[in-house]
Amino acid sequence: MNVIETAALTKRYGAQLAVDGISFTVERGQVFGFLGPNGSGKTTTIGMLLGIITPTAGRIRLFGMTGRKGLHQGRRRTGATLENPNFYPYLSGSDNLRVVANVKGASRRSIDEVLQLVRLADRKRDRYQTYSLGMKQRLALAATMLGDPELIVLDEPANGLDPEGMKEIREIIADLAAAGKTIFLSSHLLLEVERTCSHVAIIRRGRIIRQASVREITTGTTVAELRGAAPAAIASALEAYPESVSVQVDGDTALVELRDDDLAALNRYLSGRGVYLSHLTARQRSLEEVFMQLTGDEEAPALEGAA
Amino acid sequence: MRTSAVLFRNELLKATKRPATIVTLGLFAFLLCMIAGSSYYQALLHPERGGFILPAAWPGLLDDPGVPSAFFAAILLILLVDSEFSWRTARQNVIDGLSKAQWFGGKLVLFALVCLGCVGLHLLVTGSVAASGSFHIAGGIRTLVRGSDLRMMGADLLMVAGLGSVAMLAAFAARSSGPAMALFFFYVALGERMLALVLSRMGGAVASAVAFLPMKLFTSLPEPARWDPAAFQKAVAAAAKHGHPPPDFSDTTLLVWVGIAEIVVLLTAAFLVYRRRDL
Repeated sequence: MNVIETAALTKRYGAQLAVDGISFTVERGQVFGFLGPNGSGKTTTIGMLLGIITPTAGRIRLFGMTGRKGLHQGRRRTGATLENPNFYPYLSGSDNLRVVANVKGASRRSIDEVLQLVRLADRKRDRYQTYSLGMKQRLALAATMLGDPELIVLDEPANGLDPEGMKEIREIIADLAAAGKTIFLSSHLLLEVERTCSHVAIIRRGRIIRQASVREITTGTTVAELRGAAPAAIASALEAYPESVSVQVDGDTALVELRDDDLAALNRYLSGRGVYLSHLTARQRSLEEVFMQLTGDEEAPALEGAA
Repeated sequence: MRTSAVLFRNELLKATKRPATIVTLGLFAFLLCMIAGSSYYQALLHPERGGFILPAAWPGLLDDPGVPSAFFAAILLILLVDSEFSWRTARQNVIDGLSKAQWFGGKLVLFALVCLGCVGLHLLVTGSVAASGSFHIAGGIRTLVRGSDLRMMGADLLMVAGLGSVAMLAAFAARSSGPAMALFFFYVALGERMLALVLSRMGGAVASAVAFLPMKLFTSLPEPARWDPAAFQKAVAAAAKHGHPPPDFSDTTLLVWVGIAEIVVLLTAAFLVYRRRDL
């Protein structure tokens, strides 16, 4: 069953087309990564899904329901946080969750449960404005979990966190996924997405340019890593290789994207042209490499955590 | 839990725990104490004038701090509504499951709470000071409140709600407390006077609409002479003394209904302004 389904979803601000007729589906149980450079339309798309931005055109279905009432019902089965955590600064963490729990019809007991889960139980009586960024992000995660939603939408949940904080968020997301929740995750942190998500969609300039499973995206083609005495000669020979899709030279290493995975044939081809290698290995492309290739050099995302 | 109960509980929690609410209502209570205390002191200095004994003291107690109480309510409404936009909690509440109409419904609950709270505090503080004065000066209270006082209290509530609804429209139009307050005070201090000048120069039926402009209408409603027979007699005598015709308050019922209609129109306009824009 599709939990999220969009068709030709469009948002225009005056002359600017922020989201250009995008269509994608998220199935139940998927951990879906939504990637794109800054200003590509990610947050606008999520805002439309969550009902805070009115689409200019197109259709949204949540849990198979559409129309104003249907989407409202669907949104009540959704827990979400958009961009930064948004809470009342003068209220305690616990009181902020009470406001959310009242709206979602969640019990008082569930407030304590989610606070335990995000390790904020001992600070629940402190005002939100005294929380660190990591604590604010964790409180936002706790709020999304209230009411036991079937779909969890997280927009940059690890923004501004240190590696320890990111690890905590990743663990919580993994726990939610293990509990069978459908998760829609927008993030700049490609390594986090690659580790966490089962499927991704990549958006650029308001359009989805690729949607597939992470495995499909990262193993769709073979990339060979080559080294030898004359990198320029290797690169030149690779350009002429019939199975070569693209060639990149990075210092003394040449990377070639191949249509097939026959490295022996590649080695024979190069040696036949007098090019001898000291190193030849196949390597799986990272999501980051695929992302950079698909989105070009335009506003590359932050890569903290990718190292 | 029903949506109305959810909205009530959330608005009450958010408003009562907000330091701005406590400070604003504290300042308002202090102002009320000063005004009522001053009347009490005058009554002690001049016992021959009488006056500060319930229920006769009510018209003065309601009239003197009437407009300030509406301004306190307006300021509080702007602060409470617009902080939801600056903290983006308006957006988060909708993400959490309220529809935009339900969220606005919550603000209507807040509007009612603030208006009733300000009028209630006004009555409680001034009434307590006057009750103490009544016991001290007259040795007790025979009648706490008369029918005319209750009607004047209703008019006071209508004024607070009327100016509060102007503040609500300003708050939803500006979505930021500074500009919203500037917009509100510009309208009540200058904007409406300019509008009245333009309308009165147009003459005819249009000129008669000046009496129905919100600030003029709502501030004229709680006039003691409209509701209190003794105050009316004083107003008639004062007019005769200056050779003026006696005041005519036959339009009171019309003003009440037009006032209620204006509150509905202003709040509807606030909703439409809010709904039209993305969060």
